Amino acid sequence: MRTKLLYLLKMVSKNVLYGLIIQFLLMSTLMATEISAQIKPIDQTFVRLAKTEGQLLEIFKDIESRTDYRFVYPAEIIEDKSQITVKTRRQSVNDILVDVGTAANLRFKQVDNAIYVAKLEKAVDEGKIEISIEMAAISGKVTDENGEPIPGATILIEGKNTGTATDIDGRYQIDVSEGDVLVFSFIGYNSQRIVVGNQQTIDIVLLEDTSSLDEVVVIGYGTQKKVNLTGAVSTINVGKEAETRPITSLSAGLSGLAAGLHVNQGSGRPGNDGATLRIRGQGTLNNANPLVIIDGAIGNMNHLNPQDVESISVLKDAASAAIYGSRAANGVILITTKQGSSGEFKVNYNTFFSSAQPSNVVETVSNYANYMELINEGFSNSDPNANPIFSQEKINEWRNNEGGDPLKYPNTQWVDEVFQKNIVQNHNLSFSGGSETIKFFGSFGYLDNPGIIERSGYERYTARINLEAELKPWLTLGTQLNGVVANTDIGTNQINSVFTYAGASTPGMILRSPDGRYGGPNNPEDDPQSNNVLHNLNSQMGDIKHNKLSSRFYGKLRPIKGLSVEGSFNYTLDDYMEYAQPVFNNRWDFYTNTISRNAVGRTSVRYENTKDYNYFMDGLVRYDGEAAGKLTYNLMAGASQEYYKNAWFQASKFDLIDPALSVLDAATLDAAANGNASDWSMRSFFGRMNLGWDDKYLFEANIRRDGTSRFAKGSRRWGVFPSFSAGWRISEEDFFNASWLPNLKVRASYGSLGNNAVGNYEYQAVYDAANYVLNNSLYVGFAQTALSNAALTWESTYISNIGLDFDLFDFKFGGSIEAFDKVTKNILIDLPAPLVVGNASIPKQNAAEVQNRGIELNLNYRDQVGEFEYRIGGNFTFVDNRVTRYKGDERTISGSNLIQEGYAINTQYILKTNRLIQTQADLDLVSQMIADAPIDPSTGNQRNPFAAYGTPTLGDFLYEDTNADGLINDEDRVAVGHGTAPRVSYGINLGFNWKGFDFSALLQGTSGLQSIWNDLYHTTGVRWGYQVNQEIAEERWYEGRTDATYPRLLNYVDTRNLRASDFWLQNKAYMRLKNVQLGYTIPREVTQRFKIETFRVYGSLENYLTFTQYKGFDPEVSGTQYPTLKQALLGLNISF
Amino acid sequence: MKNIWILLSAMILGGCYEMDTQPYDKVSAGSFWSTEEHALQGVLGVYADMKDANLFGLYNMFDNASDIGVGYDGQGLGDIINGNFTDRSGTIVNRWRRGFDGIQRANTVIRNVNEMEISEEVQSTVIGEAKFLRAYFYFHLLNLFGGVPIYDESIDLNQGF
Repeated sequence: MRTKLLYLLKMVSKNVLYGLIIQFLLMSTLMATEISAQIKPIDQTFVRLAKTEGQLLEIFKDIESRTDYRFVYPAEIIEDKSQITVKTRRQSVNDILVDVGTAANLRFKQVDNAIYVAKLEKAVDEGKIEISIEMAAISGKVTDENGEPIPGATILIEGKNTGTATDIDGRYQIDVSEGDVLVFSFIGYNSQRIVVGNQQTIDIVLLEDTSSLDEVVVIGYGTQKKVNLTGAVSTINVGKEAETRPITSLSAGLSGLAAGLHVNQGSGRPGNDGATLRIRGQGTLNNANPLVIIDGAIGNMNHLNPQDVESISVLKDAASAAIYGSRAANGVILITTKQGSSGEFKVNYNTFFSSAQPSNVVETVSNYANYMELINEGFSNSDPNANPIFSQEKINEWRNNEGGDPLKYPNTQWVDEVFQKNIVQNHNLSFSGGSETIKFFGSFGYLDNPGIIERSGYERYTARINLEAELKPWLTLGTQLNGVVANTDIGTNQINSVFTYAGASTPGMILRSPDGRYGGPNNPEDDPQSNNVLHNLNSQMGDIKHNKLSSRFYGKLRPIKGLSVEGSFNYTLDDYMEYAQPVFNNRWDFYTNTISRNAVGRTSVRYENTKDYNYFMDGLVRYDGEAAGKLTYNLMAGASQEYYKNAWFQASKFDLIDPALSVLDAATLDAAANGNASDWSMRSFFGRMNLGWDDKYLFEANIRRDGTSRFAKGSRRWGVFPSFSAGWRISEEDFFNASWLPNLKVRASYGSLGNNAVGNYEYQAVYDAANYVLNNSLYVGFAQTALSNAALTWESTYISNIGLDFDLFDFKFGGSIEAFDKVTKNILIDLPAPLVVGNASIPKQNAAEVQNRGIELNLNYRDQVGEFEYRIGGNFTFVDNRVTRYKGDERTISGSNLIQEGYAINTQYILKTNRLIQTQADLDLVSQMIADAPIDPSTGNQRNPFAAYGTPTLGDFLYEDTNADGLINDEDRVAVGHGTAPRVSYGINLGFNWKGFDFSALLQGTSGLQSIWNDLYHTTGVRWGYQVNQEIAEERWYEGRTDATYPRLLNYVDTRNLRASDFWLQNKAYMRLKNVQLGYTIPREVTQRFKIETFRVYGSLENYLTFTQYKGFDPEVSGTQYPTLKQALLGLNISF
Repeated sequence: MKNIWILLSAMILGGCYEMDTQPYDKVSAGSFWSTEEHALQGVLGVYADMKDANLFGLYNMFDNASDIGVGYDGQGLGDIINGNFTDRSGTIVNRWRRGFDGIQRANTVIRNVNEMEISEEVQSTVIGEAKFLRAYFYFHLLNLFGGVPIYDESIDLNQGF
């Protein structure tokens, strides 16, 4: 383990090692510190000269060597080489110079540390030398209202271009003249102006600025003050969140934190627990993922250590996202990693341990005797004359031996066998600091997540260094390097099948005995092929290694004031290597204690390697200026290009010479290999203009032109995406006098964005190999297996947005309301083609239009009562989704999902159930329908109204004849609900701080989402060798029952009760207590004795309470997949 | 100042990434259909469809629909035997689609080889084989479905799908 750790450490450092060495070398040469001179008047400086006699030059040099003074004189003065007598006792420099001046006829004047020498024109009074000190040094300390020092606070002399900053203890020293005005300021605090009198020390207490007027938000290609924003941007301060919540992946951790951002955690599988993000609804019918930009280049959120992230901005409307024009149609998420700050040198160590378990599981029948009876019942309901599968003797035997030998008579509950409790641990060490010209941030992180299912563990090492240096006043260079080394167990490539295997199994089987043997079914009447999920997970060994390097090099030139030229180059390499080989284990019949299935098979080895390369470079020019006193303008223009390539190959070989070996050379026969590659590239030009008048009227315009290799050359390749936005800060107007409403802004925007989510080469007609054997030899043939569509072009989204931002009651209560309308046109979809086209795949076409309309609301309140600070906030989003143009009245139905004009995407198109037939009255209804059946005009006979699904009897559903044609069939399906994306999502967060304790809680929920859940774990169809759901077993209809809620059990091939209907439709609305956290920070006075700044312990619960009506695994997860996990966590945060 | 503009343009134009990307594992239609080799490969592509399970690859499975054999699941024509099939059943749909796939491949060969400039002998052989195979597929579909729509080489699927 230790050598493995060392080896991995070396691997990670190798990627950043050379960069680190060079940068640290540079850093040490650049870490110059200022020498501040102490200016003393010459009559207060005492020295003793070396000699009693000397020439003028010697005396000057003597005094210079003993003091900070420097003599300034015209050259002819020292031509007089006569000896001058001075006293050698300890005396003030003033007295020495009086003697020298009398003897040599000179006069002196002290200005700061310079002593000017001039010939005496006329006789002056003895003993009087003009001393004038223009500047004196003032020192002091800057603290906040709690007495804590503020390092890095800026002190400027008003009107002059000089200033300084406080050191780590909040102390400063600066040379001032009397009458100067000093301005003390620091981000987040109110500035103070002090007029310098004749004091030597000025101590300042800065008060916190509770207004958010200076809050700066990261937007595309820059930052902007929040009050000047005209677009819709939500910010998430991740720095605080990630330190205390067990976020193993960033996307999953964003749930509930920003209005308009809906996060759906697809699965909790370690290493692949990234969530699906949606900004303002599902905009398009295919890839609706937002664009994720990390430090200026496109990246994958899930490969980022959450503790490296400083802030996340979510750009939701066209105005804010337009600068990323193409691919921004679904919104943009900007992630900024941490950067050091001047003067503050910090080391931070963060660790947490958590224990996880699934938040909810679905139980199946575990009592084997009951299980056997249920299976028999299901099959006899379908065919009363068939022989029962399980004999009564076996049923009796199991029942009599309940509680007996567990190996011989198992009653396995799969949930207990498959899930295991494990501890996740995460360590993160980060350091940051800087001076005025250099800033750096570095971090090293380790995450170990063993997973709650066997063989699904995940280990990850990350390292990062962010460095920025202002090498000259006009040149800044920087770099950001990030390396990830991750190791996953091979079992993770089967995780999604775990639930299928566990469901296609029987409770009469020991999964694994205490001595490690895997079992098969103990009852010979049971299906010998039923799965043993633990056996399947352990049938292979191997691992998946994932290495990633992201690097960014950037520079900023500032040739003249207001103009800056920036450029960056980004390179990302993602390497993924999988190795697997089968392991053969016996399966035992524990009833007879013999082997039921021998472990046989050919040994083999398989290696697969995938590499992704991504190159991105951009350059831009920015000009900021002011005109006419009140007009401020920012102009920006730039260009960028990007290239991405994915290449993979795989090799396998059979018959290892020894099963303990695992390389290809150790195998002997049947080598096979495959491989392929694909790539795409993109080029863009963009510009932005921001105008502000008197800080009250704001206007912004963006334009972007993109070309992609995915569309044919010419007009189809390029798309132009403009946008405009404007804002009005009503609160700054003179007529606006409400002091209870210090900030009120109205803003509106309109613009267009693009999306190019198609395959890489779909516009090109290509031929693929189609081989054939003629005369015993294989010949290569070609056929067009994929049709092309040369007319493919950009999908465009047009977004209009109106918003109102406000802050009330002295900035205690703030928020924003927005309404948006998002229309996506030219959606790239697969339209079905008639079957006569053959098997060639049909390319996408630009053919549909989807509209998302909604409202977002964001409110925050914070206040303080004595030492108790509290805050409460919430966000709420409502989105109405509708397909506005598709194929007229035609529908596309895939399972129960419907796409049709006028309906939301994936509206459920299902039958309605009238009732569950349980009483005689219900049966009479059925007979009535048969009697009233319409006549078939071609035969003259009455039709069978139940021809499609079978005539229902007691225990079956009677479906609603919604179209009143007297027949029950697929035509009776109706559209129900609003699709498979939620209509309403909301998050509520609250917290308080008191005397070192801090508490916070986050609730998150959605509603309006309904989907069908009918699979192995939730069905009334029984199948030999498959499990039965416990709740269905309890609520099913059986002979004589009239209060059943589920229909009767049937053979699984009879699907009459399993059709997509509103019975199987589940309401997936939920409210989840995502996070509850309590922490305590030990008082600073105590920890500072050990040189520690902050020492905080905290505990939190994640996903502990879920309120939902959904009966499945997890309302956030679709279908049956690795569930979201409940976690209990304990952590420590130390910084010094 | 001037240097900065030069630097910028050099950065943008100098390291330009190729915008016309091609798939790595397939042959583009632009460069196909130019030599005799291509004509032969094209007609082999039509032959290749014949071995598909939905065309002639599982031909003997039709015995299950008679009284000399019996099948259970979809592949063994189980739903035809049970009478449970509809016009959307996979067994039916796939046989129709694969039959027409072979016909469309033959049409592509005939259309493209007609315009190639290769020796008369190879051209007429290849077109003859493609026409024969097309007729054979139509015959097969006629046996299964009765009257079927006729598609010939005049329609280019890339524009007409």
